[in-house]
Amino acid sequence: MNVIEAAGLGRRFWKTWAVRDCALAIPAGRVAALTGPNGAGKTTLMHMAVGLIAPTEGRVTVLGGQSAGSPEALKRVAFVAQDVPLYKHLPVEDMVRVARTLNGGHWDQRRADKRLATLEVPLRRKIGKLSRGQQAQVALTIALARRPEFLILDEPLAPLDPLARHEFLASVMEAVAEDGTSVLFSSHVIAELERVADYLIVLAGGHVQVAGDVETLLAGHQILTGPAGAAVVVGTEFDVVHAQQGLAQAHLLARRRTAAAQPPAGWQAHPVTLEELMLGYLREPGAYALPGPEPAVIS
Amino acid sequence: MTTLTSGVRQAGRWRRPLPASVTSMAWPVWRQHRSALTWLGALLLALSATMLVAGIELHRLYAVEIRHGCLGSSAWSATCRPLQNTFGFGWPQTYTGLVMLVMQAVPVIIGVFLGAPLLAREYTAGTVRFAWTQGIGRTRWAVATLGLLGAAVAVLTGLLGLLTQWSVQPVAAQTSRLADRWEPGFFDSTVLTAATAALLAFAIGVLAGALLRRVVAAMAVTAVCTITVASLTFSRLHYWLVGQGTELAKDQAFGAAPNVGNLSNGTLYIHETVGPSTPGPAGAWLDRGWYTGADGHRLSDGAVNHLLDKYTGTGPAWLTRLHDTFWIAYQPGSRYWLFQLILAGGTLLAALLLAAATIALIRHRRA
Repeated sequence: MNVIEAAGLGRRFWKTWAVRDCALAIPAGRVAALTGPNGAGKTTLMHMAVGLIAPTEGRVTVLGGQSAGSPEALKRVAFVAQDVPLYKHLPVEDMVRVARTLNGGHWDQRRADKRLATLEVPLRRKIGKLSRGQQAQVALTIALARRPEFLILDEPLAPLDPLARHEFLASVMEAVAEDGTSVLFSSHVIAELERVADYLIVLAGGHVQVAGDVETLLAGHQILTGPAGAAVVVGTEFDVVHAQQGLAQAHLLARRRTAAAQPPAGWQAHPVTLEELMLGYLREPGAYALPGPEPAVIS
Repeated sequence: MTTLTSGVRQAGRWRRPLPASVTSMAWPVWRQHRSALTWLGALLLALSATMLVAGIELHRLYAVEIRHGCLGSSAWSATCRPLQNTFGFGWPQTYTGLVMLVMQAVPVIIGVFLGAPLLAREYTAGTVRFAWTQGIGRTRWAVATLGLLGAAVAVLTGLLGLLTQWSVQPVAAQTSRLADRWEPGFFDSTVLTAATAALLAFAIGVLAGALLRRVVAAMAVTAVCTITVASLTFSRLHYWLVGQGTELAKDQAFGAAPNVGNLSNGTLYIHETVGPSTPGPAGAWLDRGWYTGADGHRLSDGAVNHLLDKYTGTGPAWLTRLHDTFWIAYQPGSRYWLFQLILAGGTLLAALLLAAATIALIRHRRA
């Protein structure tokens, strides 16, 4: 099962396309990170996946073919929007109770109570008076109390300090371990993303630039170091994603065409880190690394 | 999956909302709009208390009048005079005028302070992204929120309407001119019309909030729209409505009375209810009238003015002697509640249409 499938997906705001010609298939059971420069269309993509906005063209389904935003999909998908929009004037306990009634029977109060107690969130304090970290944790608590099969988080880490980030991600990973929840989160924070994500999607200019298992992506790319000037010629076994020319040496982020691809004579190959891989692609919006000969889309 | 799931199992389009989910929404709706509802409740309570106190005093005076037989033929006796002066020129006059004004203002207040911020605040705070991604789904969320708040508005203003009717009744019983039940001010403030006028204003506010997505702008637009609707109803729609399907009668006595109505193109617009001291069918709304000459043709403005110049103050005989006839188009008193139902029904229909438009907007124009 794929938690998200999109084909030919596009969304236009007035004359600008926020997302266009987007094809995506994220398998279930992954912690998928969605990254890309500001304005790449991350939020638009997520909003389409939860049915907050309708696609201008193409389609997107969740959890094996459920139409995004349908009642069935909303029961199984939890979403925490950017900047944690909760009712700021409500005390924590009332906010949680509101969320419970908005989810009918699909609610695990024990889990909510336990998490709030562990996090030592003051239940009678208004949401607006909590720290950013606590607000994010309350939003996550509400999302997790729904016991979702698929959890979507839009920039959950951005407003948090390093400690709060750590705690937030620990909570997410706990749910993943407990329920096998699939997660899609967008982030700019490469270090955190590297630590928890096992699936990576890079979005650039509304297109999917990179999508795949982190391990496969890392194994499929290498950093090649060789003489400057000859950078473009690295044989037929590599595709150069990004070339960085130094005075004496050139560093190339290269994708191996086959698993056995060897660097040409005079070049050295090094394994690539996720950060190098991401930065390489972000610097070359025209380059693509997508699974299979065609983007895997089942619809 | 629980029972909730099975009702809406089919994927794809949204299904009809379940009543159970609507009632379970009562707490969150109350909790979220608690402060607005409390302020509104306090305001309505203060108005009710005032009307109750005034109403009790008016009914006490009215009881004294009845005991001394002050109503009707034996008017202007020594006992009755002060009472009748109070009703006719004292504080009950100010009171009925104020009540009329306040009852026109209540829907505007509800539309501006409860209706307009309802969705606009969700948009500005970004909380639609929370509310619309929960298991209940946005359509049921909207139906439940609008339905429950609408019901609260209708009940509160309906009760206020009942109280208004009761408290001004002794004033209306004196003479038709004081608190005329057919006149727009009080016709619009009964249990039915007060509730539906408030619902319409609420629906206008909610739709303005959904369209504009800004609290202050939505409140301003709502204020303009609700005041326009109220004043158009007050000055145009109401008179048009109660002038429909009128009965026709000859009434020489009325035609011979001074200051019958406003003359325009041969028609005198009377706009008055038949009271104890005015001629005409009891309890009827006198809409308009006209004179016809001996040949049966309606008299023109000039002819009517000429006729009235010759008025000798000798009563109906004067008119009959000239071979002229006064015709009156009236709405029988028995039709009062029929017209109440028509106005209330039409207003309710308009409110429901606006609410349906709001829900359609929420469903199809995405956040």
